[in-house]
Amino acid sequence: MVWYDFVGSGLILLCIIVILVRYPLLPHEIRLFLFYFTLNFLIEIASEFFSSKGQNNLFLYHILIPFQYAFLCYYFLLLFDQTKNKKILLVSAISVVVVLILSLFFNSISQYYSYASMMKNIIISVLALIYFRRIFISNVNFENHVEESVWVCTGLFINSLGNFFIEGSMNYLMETDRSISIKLYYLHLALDFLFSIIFICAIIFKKKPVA
Amino acid sequence: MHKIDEEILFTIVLGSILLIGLGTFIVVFLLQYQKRKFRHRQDILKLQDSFQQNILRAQLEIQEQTLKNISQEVHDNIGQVLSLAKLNLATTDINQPDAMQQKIEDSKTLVAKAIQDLRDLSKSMNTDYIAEMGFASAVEYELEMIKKTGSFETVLEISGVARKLEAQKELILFRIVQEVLNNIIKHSKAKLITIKLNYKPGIFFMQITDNGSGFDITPLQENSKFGLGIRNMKNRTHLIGARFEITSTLDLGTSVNISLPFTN
Repeated sequence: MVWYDFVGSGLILLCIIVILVRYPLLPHEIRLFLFYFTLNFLIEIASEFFSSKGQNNLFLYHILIPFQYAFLCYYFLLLFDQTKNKKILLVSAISVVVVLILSLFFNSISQYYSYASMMKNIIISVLALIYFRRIFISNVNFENHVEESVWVCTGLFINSLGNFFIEGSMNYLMETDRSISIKLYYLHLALDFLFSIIFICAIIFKKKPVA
Repeated sequence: MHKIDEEILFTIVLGSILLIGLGTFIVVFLLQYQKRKFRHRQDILKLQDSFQQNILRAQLEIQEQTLKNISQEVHDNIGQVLSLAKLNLATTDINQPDAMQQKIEDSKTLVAKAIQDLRDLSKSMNTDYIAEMGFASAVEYELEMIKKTGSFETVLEISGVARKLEAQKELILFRIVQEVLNNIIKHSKAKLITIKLNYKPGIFFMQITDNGSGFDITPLQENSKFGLGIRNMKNRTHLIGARFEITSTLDLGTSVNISLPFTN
């Protein structure tokens, strides 16, 4: 196991611990991230297992991405209160599932999941923008405290935007020039670490409600 | 080949950084915008609250002034009239039927006047009488009350087509009229009070003038205790979007001018 695997798995584990510690204070949609990070953690462990045996572990991420997307869809469904936005979400969920299945024709199960990642990143960016638009037109008060969901969506937004080109070109670069793909992979890891750190900070710095 | 690879790497990294920058900018802008929007809303609420408090204060002052007027009217006018009627009736001599008849007639006139004065007073005890009578009629009534004292001549001039202002603005303006009239009665030693109401298209003008002793308005410019009532009037006019101007010349009198644009 290399150092960045330790850091990545450690941050995911820290996210799980922070959610458990602050569980009573957290709103329902944030508590659901317990499943999200637990699934991520299990996939990372399984990935490390296959990697240590010298086997291709990319198929695990082909399985993980649909589950990640389904979870994030449900998370945004809880955040959106307008029926119009919920309809957009359901339509996107169905279309993404179709695309994810079709992407297997472009990226086989043993190749990097570029198409699936690109699709996920685009949709998550759009959903985050819809959420920000809702914040923009609402009368929510950010004078004393910013909701955790705002930070979580910010993390997802930046992660998705940053990873769009990186993950999108990863499969091609792995087959043409592996050295570049490794450099870009570090950038991808940095963005994943950033999301985990933003999530942890959002939960840790959540103010306790005044009695 | 190596150079092309470096270019590809540079392009992808730069593209990613630009997208991340854009995302960060959007989020920061959103948070700043929401904070400023909240602060702006709080300021508006404070102004609305202040406005409502001023309206309430003006209403209370009008009520207080009305009760004072009533008390004065009952004591000075109605009380005197009824006392005179009582005196007339007490001094009637049954042995002088002509004189007695005259005194009875005089007493009837006095009692009728007292009844009319009481009717007029009861109107003003209705606190919504400005809204019911209209601003111009309420001002006319105030001038009539002052004229009845016998110490002042009053003139009311109305030009243009009278139209109803917003209720809260009429209340504030009426309170200002009362305060100006009070100041004239207390301080000016005037003999003539003139109020001009001019309803022009889009704007309403009001001018209250007296031919009294006038005063030096220089201390008003300074932030002193003197002129607190006038500064209060000025603040109230600003609150309803009107303009307040006071001019005075020693021995020639004082003029208060208020202009208020109509809002649709």
